[in-house]
Amino acid sequence: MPTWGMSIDLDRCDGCEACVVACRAENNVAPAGPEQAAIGRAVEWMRVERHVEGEFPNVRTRFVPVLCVHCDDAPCVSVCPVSATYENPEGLNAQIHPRCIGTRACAQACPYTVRYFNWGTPKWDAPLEQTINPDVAVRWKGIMEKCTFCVQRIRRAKDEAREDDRPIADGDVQPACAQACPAEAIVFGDLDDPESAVSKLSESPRAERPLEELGTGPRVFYLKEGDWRGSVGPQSSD
Amino acid sequence: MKRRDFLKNTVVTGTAGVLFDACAPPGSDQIIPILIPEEEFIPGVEEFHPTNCVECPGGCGLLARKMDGRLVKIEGNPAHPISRGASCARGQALPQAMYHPDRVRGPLIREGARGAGQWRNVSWDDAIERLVSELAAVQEDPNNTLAFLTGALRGHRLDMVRRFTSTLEATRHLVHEPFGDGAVLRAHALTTGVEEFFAYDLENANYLVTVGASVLDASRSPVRFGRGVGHLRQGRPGRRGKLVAVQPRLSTTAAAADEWLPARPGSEASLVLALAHVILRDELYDTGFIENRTSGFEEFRARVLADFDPELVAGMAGVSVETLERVATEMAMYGPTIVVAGDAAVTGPRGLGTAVAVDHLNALLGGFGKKGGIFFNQDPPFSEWPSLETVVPAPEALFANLTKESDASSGIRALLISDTNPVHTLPSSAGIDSFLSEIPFVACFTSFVDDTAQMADLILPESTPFERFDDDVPSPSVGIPVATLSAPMFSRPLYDTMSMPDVLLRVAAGLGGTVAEAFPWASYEEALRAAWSGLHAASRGSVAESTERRFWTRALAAGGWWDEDVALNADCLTSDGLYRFELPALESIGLDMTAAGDTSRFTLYVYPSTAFGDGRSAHLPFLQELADPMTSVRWGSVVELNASTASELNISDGDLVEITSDTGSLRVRAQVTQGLRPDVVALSAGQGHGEYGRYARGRGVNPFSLLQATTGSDLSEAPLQATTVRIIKIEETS
Amino acid sequence: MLLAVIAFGGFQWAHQLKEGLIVAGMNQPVYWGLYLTNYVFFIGISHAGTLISAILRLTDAEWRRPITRAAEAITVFALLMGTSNVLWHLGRPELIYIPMLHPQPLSPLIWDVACISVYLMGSITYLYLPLIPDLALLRDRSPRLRWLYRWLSLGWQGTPKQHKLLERAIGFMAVAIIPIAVSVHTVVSWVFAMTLVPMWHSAIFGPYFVVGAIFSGIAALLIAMAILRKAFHLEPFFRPIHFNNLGLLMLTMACLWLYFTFAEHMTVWYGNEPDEVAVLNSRLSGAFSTPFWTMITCCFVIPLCILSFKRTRTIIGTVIASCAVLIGMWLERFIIVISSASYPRSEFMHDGGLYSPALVEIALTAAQFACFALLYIVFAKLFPLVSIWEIKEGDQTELEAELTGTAEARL
Repeated sequence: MPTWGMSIDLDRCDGCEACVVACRAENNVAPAGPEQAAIGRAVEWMRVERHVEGEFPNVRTRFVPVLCVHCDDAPCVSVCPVSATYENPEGLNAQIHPRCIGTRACAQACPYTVRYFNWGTPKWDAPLEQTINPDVAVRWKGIMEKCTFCVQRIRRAKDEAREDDRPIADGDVQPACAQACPAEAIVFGDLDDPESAVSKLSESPRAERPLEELGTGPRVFYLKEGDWRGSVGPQSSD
Repeated sequence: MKRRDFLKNTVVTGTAGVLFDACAPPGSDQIIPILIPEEEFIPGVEEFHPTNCVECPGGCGLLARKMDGRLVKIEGNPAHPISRGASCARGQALPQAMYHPDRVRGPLIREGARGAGQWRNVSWDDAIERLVSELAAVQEDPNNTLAFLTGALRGHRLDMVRRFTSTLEATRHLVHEPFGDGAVLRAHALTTGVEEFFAYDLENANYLVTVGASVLDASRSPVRFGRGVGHLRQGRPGRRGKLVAVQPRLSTTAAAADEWLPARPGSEASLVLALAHVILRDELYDTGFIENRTSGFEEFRARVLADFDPELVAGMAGVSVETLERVATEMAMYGPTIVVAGDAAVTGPRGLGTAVAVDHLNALLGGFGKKGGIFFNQDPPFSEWPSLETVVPAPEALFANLTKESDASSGIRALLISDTNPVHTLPSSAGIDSFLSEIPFVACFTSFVDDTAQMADLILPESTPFERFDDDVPSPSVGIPVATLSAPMFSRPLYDTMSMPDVLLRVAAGLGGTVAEAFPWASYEEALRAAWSGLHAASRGSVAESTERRFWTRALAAGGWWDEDVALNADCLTSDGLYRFELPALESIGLDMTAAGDTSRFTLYVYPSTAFGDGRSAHLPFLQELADPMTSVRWGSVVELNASTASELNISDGDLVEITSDTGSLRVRAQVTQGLRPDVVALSAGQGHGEYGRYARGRGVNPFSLLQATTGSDLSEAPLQATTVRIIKIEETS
Repeated sequence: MLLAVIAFGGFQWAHQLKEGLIVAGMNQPVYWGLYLTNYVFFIGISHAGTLISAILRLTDAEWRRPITRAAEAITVFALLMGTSNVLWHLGRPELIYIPMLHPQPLSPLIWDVACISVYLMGSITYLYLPLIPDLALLRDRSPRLRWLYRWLSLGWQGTPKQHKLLERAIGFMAVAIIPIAVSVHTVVSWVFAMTLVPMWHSAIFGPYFVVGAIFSGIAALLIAMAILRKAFHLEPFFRPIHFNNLGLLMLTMACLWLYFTFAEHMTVWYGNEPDEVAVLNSRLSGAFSTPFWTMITCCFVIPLCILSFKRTRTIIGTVIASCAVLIGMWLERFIIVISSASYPRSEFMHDGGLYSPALVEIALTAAQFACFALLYIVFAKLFPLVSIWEIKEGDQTELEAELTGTAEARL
């Protein structure tokens, strides 16, 4: 049974936000609109945080794509009163929409602030609802939603592998964000398979797990930015 | 990343379009009947149809995912040499363009005054008839001209336009592309004889310097550059390349870069030559390349050593001598190095000089034709259409025309517009409004009523790329011949639309005579296929089949044709085949940039936005909702000010300010940043549409309304960093 | 008039039900707003009643006798108002039964459901039991609503055997209700403290909230007593000595409250952990500084000044202090919930949140206060607010004490 995980290389990421829109399009996340977005209600299962330090002209910027890290020991799972979120056997932090009653305790508990609430009913001006991906449920008002590691794609890959009577190969499953990224910064795969690309990247000296010290056991890890010190031999490249 | 195995479900509808797809939105009024019963889709089965993206010059090959008879998602085409399976934010939002509530659903004829926005639905027959009669009238009177105004088209769409303008009498081809980097093309023509964007072997380079071009976010080919830079950074175990950005503003590209050189707007050319100075002085240049493949080197060296000492340039450019020395040395020592120019830096009176200087710097580093360096485009070996006796009018830049002393619109009796929005992306001071008002008949090919179409007399609704046949030859490309091919993914368009080339064919047929003879095809598909037969005949490349029919089917299934076995080349097409160290273009870049005397005026820097480019993607709600990577702004605009400037002007983050240039003024919220020169204020292009659908209409501000358009400039696009403005804070009463 | 306020609140809630919480003011990252604030606040107030009357009963404080019922009534109604917030707060309130069907036992919210249910049952019982003899009295004496009193008094005849049974039951409840009450506000605090949110994740939240609850509860009780004293002319029963003693109790709680608050903020300041300091600074000098310093003033400074001196510890004095305390304590809940929610870990949410309560939230808050008052008034109209039989019992005790020469001048 695979344990799904993801690596995001911050040295490759250039902040283009292709992943943000790809995720939206794949998972039927409706835009909140200008008024709602202005008061902080935009839902973006994948968003890009920008960290800026320094003063002109010595400004250092880092782009960090942020999404649900599918914790092994998730704070959201403990606080949900109705078990609407749980860790499935493949390591995914799953959200059960019909069970959710909207206490938003999970959203407050999440240290990564990656859970989103449907304040109102998602709205699509006709005929934009035609773009809705039938593989993903549309949500309704009053419930939580968040990144699922594109579980619909995982399911599809498993179905196809089963049809062909073979195991899932590394690279068969590409969440929308990983597939779109031009810089190939996002790598997804089975952390339990030592040969998978994501497992190998997890051994990189640049790898760090976000907020690891909190004990959440995140399954998304970031590869720190590299350093160029004027050599053709590298400081931190793997 | 390797090819996605699950994409093996690719199905093509090109030749066998038997699927009837009802993409009928409930409750909308449309011309075709609403509910055509779905005949043949299997729920849950996905199909991927290749298509090409036209949102930016990148020209990515895409795959459109169709489920339940609808377009639901875009992916990159893994086989396509430009996108290699990736896509960008704007491409990902494309399904919203297809099903946008404000699409034009049928031909429209103006009622009431121009610009009033009142239209009457007409049939295609009537629309064509009107077009034909207008064009016939133009043909009859020798004093009349027909002008065809387009964006920077490519592929056979361009060829159709050129053919059209050549067969009709007295026709001009005007081109308007606000971030078209025209100076780069002219520079390349002067130095190498190749008037096309270069191909860069980023994957094998070690050092990339971009002068002005936001290569990773909105310029020219972001997906290809994103991939290339990603690879340059971390794609080769043991090597990590460096990216340096020379821009007055910390763009997304500069933010991702390892080093940001905030050069003063207009000083880029001198800065580039200062880098060249160091390389020349310390003899770090590629002697082999210089001696064998170039001409005019001695004069160039003398000139640069004399005039562009870093000590002289540093103060003017705002970049320290140490930095210039160090970067220049790094470029030479740690190559392969590639230098790229674009955006605002190549506009304005110094634009050509900047582009030429960058070419020269590349030449010094010997990158042409080497691994990790620069190569030239190679055209796919299309078959030529039947040749014509007529002369194809050379494309003229609309901006240059408008800013000439004489009356730009004189003699133009009819104007056709396609793939461009000049009313939005020209400085209003250039006089586009009066230009249009002088022209008796204006027709616009477009899928949406945008600012320009609003001023038309006839709107010819264009099918989206998902609903039409089209091809593209991406430029910049990757050095091998690449041709993208797309076919409709539905058996009929969603609304009563037609692709522009197909309309031209019907108009040509309607005009009869020699014009009709020049277009012997029943449809654009046929014309394309005729051209593509040349690729079949070449019997090489990604699609090689024994019969033309099989070739065409497979090319449609693959989304195009490319030949990865072709050797890359950088053979100059100058008369002597050598790279020319062109000097006259460098005359204009002098070091006489005095410090701005009036410290109350700032340089306005206009740049293409990540989400909207030049504005053509602003109608898509996914992109309006996207937080800009550097400003975090959604659904609006901000003007960025440097923090120390803001405190001097007593402006805080979020304050409403008024920006005034000599030609216009606007009000917008301010954002205070450290990522900007203190003497510059930055406004992104893309917003401020008067008309472009409900999501873009009246939203944000349009910086083009502030830009100055100097007359007699002969420039292909408006200068994007040559306007000075004043800023004051506006007290808000409510 | 109260009905008007309640009706408006109801109308707003209907609007919220239809449109969703989009009409409220919460957003990302401030997912919890006024509803949670009121939830904690009202449940806090509810402590007064039962805790006071239980503790005072157990310590045999004679002066408690007139105030026990008023206190117990506050408990029940405050609990009802507090838990009503759950309905306003949930994204899908129609599914409120799901936590009963599928409880996730590790969730502090489930602990809330359990403890508060028990507490509510307990409080109602604890209110009801001592009411029985008075209900019997009313049954016998009251000209109206005889049927109601007869039904409620369960056939009480006042026999010694029944009295003994009653005393035992009340005694048992008094002992049992204390740990339940403590547990209630502890688990309410653990809804926050069990998360990893900066300045919520604190070991002392349990006792801190309990102290705060008792503190605000006493204040509510004082105000209620003062109003009822005037409205129902209960001057002989609600005497200055009551206000004095409760005032002293409140002063003690104020000091205890300050101690906890200080400990809470001091450790954060000293530890200097950036995400926590961000919240701290927002309270001390940032977006929440006005509510914060108002809170300190209202919860400590004002009560300290008024209640420290016998001269000012009058009925009016204690009422003023109580009003200040209630305002301060409501602000304290507000600050705890919202300031931490507004400043999530900066590494992941660069720009904090900004919350401003929307009309529906304000309307429902006002409606709750109005409803609380209304319920109380209705209760006061229907049932004697002063425990008649207990006072009689007290009188008797005093009489006996005097007769036996051990005068305990407590009343």
